[in-house]
Amino acid sequence: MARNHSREILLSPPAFILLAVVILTIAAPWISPYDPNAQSLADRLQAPSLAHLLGTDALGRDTLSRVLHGGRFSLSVALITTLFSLLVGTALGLLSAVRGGWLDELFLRVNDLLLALPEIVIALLIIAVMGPGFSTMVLSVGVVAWTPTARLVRSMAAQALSTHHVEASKHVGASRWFILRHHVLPFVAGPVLAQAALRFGLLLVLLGSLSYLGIGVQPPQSDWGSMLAEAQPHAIRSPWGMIAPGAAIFLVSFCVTLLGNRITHVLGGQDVLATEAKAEIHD
Amino acid sequence: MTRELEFIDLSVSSGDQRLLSEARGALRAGELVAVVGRSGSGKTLLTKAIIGLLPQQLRAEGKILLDGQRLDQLDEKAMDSVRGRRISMLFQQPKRVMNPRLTIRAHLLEALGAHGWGKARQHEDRVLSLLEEVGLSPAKQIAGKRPDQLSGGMAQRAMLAIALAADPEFILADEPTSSLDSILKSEVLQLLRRKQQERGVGVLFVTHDIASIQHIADRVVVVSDGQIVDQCPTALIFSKDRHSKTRELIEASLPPLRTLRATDSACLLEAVDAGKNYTRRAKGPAALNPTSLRLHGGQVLGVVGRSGSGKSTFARLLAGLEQPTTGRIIHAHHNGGATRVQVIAQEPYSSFDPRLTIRTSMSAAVHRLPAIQAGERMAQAMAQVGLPEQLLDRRPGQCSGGQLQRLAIARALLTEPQVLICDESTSALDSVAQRHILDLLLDLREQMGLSLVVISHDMDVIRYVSDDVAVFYEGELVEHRPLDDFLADPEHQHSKDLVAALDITAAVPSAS
Repeated sequence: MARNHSREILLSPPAFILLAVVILTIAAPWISPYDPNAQSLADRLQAPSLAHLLGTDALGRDTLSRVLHGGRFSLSVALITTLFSLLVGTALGLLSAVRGGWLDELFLRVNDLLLALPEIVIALLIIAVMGPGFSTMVLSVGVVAWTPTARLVRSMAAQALSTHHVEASKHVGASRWFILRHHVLPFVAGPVLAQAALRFGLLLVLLGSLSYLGIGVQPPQSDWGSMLAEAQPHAIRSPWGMIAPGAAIFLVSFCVTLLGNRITHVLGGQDVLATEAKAEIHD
Repeated sequence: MTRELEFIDLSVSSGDQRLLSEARGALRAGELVAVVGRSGSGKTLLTKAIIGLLPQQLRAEGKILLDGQRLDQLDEKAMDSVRGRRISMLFQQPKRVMNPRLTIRAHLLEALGAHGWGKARQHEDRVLSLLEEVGLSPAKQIAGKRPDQLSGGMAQRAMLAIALAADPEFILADEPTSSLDSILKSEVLQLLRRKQQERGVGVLFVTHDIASIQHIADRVVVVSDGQIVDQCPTALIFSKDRHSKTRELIEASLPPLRTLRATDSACLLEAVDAGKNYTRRAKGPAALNPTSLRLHGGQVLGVVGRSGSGKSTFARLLAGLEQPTTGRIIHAHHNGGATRVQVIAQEPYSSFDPRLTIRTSMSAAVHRLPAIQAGERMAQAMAQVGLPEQLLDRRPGQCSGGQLQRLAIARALLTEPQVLICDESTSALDSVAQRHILDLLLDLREQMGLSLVVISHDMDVIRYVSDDVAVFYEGELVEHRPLDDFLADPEHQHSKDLVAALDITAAVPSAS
């Protein structure tokens, strides 16, 4: 049953597109036609042609090469922050649900506080203090990014822990670890993964915005957000410089969102079956 | 001409699967026909198909005739004038089918008004007389209540009033008494029978409990695996040469007499003034007033009472699932350590995680043991409850309610308990599965010397298994005596009612 689910999720168009994007960006050093930082002022602001498939930017750098290389940076930062928030959020959420009491209360208040502040404002603050860079970017977003995951994990885990079957397991002597591993984690995993996929898309856009504002990645390194910012002054004369990184951000976040929805949908189907089994007994 | 509701070659299928095949029969005005079968046999589908309320993914074929008129060919609008007006329904869970925001009066007015009895104001008298007719008084006060303010028995009476409101010719009753306790069950059964005869209504009464309808039904129809396998007048159904499925249902009903066994005198579990109050402050009615009681080795204690009487709270205290707010529970110490207590819950489907295989769920009890030993223990427990080991690799959704209840017992046995507390463990099951589980429990007691605490609202169950009976009433233990004494001479008024109700649903005559 579980295998069919993962097949239904992984063998879908958005998953294929994402896979292709990831492979292309990983392979960027070998497949990109030019050095992404090689300037050629004679060829500046060109429209797409056979020589430059996506045209060139204001310094005559090949846009395709830059999109491929920039993707390495954008995707890896988004992935790292997503994984970070997934781990931290799951751990804290579980702890809060299992321990309860004042710890849970404290957790909820901190969570409320962080949820109330816009992510980008906190990120701006941290960057202002620590200065821009790869690790600051991960940190600044990671500090807040775990809260929605933790909240979801906490409420799902609390729900799982209050079921009759967990009480039954406890009563026959199951250890806390047994209950977490068999009753709580499988229950929490699906929705959390679905949420993580959606969060990945959001974080990609958030990190892109930081770079766009000039406080994310610093030249000569570039990502999709900073490419957008660099191309903006020339948008009228050469829109290609903006369309390419913009489309890349759109494509990836759109596909992960679809994937997240798909996970929710597939798992939703499973829950419906469970409910039906319960309903039978009342017939 | 007598009015008649007839179904010819009525089949219901889901995709390629036939759930009910070619059922054929008729219900005449003025007769009460019981449709009896196990859960999942298709008896509920039959009523839903007749009244055209099947779930969308199911498809019905065949003819349904109401006085010669084809109901199956009517459109929704035309069916609306049949439902409620000419054929009405009674359900198992009245509160679930009533609108929780509307008063009983509003429900009745809708049943009257929507079916063309004139203006609402003139109906007040009729509303009140209907409520009085079903024994709900003071009618005026009850008319103003909402469904959740009524007890289960009152809600079922109110539903009968709603069903009778438009003076229907036929009533389809789907397990209307299955979730009621013994006293209410016999009251509602008698009321239904009286109304049915007074008004000359034809009633199709669906139930899994053949014993409960033996005194009220004119005819019995037995359904099994989607087919009508047997039908005859009620008087003949108990004769020996009926269909094997009929015999199965009859044999499932619980006989009154059972040889008593001597219990050993060692006290395993003792409640000393144990009480429970869920509210933080000690004011307000306690869920359970201080109760003292002893449980001996090998004893079967039957605990009976209505919902809210404190019997389940008492069970949770005994099991150690909750701590008493007053008094204490003493677990006797003997050579094997303190008394181990296990609980078998009411809902078989919720006591196993639907995502996990049974094996994983069961391993909760033995996961600290080495894998090989754990496997052996599980195999042994499965043998004790008489189930094949292959069942361990299924998920709860693939097991029947009876199987799951056995599996729950097997899981409890893994911890080698001395006391099993069965909290309404059979009330979600049909009568055949119930009999099997009760017999299994009695066997386990015989073989392993288990003590049982059997909690039930069903006096038949209590009478079948118990050595001693404890009656709870409004949070209080009002009577605790050996079964025979209790049956012969109940002291408390509630106990008297319980024993009197036994006569109505009295066990079926044995065929021999």
